[in-house]
Amino acid sequence: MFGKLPHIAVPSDVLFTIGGYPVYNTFLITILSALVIIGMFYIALRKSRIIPHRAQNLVEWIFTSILNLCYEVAGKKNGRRFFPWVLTIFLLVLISNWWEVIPGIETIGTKSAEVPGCPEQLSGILLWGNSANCIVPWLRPPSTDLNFTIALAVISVVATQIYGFKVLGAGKQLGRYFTLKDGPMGLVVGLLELALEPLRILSLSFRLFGNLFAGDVLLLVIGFLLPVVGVIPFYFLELFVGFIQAFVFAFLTLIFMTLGTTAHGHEDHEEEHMAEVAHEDHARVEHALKREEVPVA
Amino acid sequence: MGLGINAPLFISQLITFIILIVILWRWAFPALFKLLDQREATIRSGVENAERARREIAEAEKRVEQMLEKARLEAQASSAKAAQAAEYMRAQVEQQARERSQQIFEQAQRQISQEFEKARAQLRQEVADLAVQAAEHVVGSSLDQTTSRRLANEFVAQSRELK
Repeated sequence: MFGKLPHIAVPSDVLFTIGGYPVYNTFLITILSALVIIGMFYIALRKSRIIPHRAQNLVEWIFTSILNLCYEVAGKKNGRRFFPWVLTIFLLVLISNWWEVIPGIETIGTKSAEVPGCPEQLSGILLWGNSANCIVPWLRPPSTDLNFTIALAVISVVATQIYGFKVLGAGKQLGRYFTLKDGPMGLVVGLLELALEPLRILSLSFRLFGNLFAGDVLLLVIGFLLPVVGVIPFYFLELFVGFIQAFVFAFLTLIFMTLGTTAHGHEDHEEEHMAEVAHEDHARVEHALKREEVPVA
Repeated sequence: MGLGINAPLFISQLITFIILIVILWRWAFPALFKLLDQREATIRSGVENAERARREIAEAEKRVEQMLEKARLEAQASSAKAAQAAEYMRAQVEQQARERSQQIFEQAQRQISQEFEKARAQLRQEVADLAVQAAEHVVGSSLDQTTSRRLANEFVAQSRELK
């Protein structure tokens, strides 16, 4: 064996402090992910044209796909309202997840003798053999840090509540949890629903963290056991899982927001919603037809 | 402590990543690019169709304008032609009326002249007869019929000359 399995720990590592505030390796790469997204949009929209160039086309494609998904799930008005959250969460989680396959992740860092099993003296930049894993990595995928996934989940759930109060009003929003309209059983169901809200944070964050942390460990372990060739199928698997988890997180946020802005106990509400969706479909078709007539700038 | 690289794993990552990129470049990206190219083609054809439709509408508007202008000119020409024809007809009718009135006038003049001549001849005859009768009263029956006729005629001729 010419290397050593990297030290695997759930907490992320502190790289340095700014004014006593610790900067973690996962935080650094979260900032990098945000910069990647901003850069992507900057390149795509810098010289935008009616007939898009390739980067613009890619961004437009992602943008319209997510926007259409929001329209289909939440209707025109709410769909547009939730869209910025859904797109931002999707892109941030996707980019964060895909860092896993980039070389240097968890293999470049600061030499550290504090890693268990490491000698006191570490010489040279390239570390081999027993001291190969004696580093504190500078870059680690954010999704493998619970802080990142919980923060996103809290944002998702809190935003859902804010939209609930905004769209339904305080009375109806609180009435979802505290109601005696359907008898004591209705109250129990309402309270159960209230208890589910914080559980959503857990389910969202642990799903993402669990999948990505496991994937990260998998790549490191397989990379250690079967370097180069053996790990390739898992790279594809991780790309796929990264995409699916980003989509699931964003889609669940959209679903929670849609459900959170739908009043309970109205039999006719669904019909209204269907009518609204039908009306919006019609409007969308008309809009698409009109777009054919838009003069070229 | 300074920079450290987990050399075996980093090299493994590097090679794996290059292989991954090659595989994606060979199989995954073409599919993605094809999708994007199709999208671009759809947008391009949509924009071109819109542009063509806009151009066709502009051309149709231009054609309609031309047709209207042509119709306007034709109407003006027809109107002018009709006015010309009316003027011609009016002139013709006026000419005919003038000719007809001239004819009537000349005919009336001829009739008057004839009547005048006739009346004069008749008057001359009556004056001669009166003169003869007067002369007979004056000279009795000394002159024969033929002589008195001659004298009367001479008198009439003289009176015409005097006149």
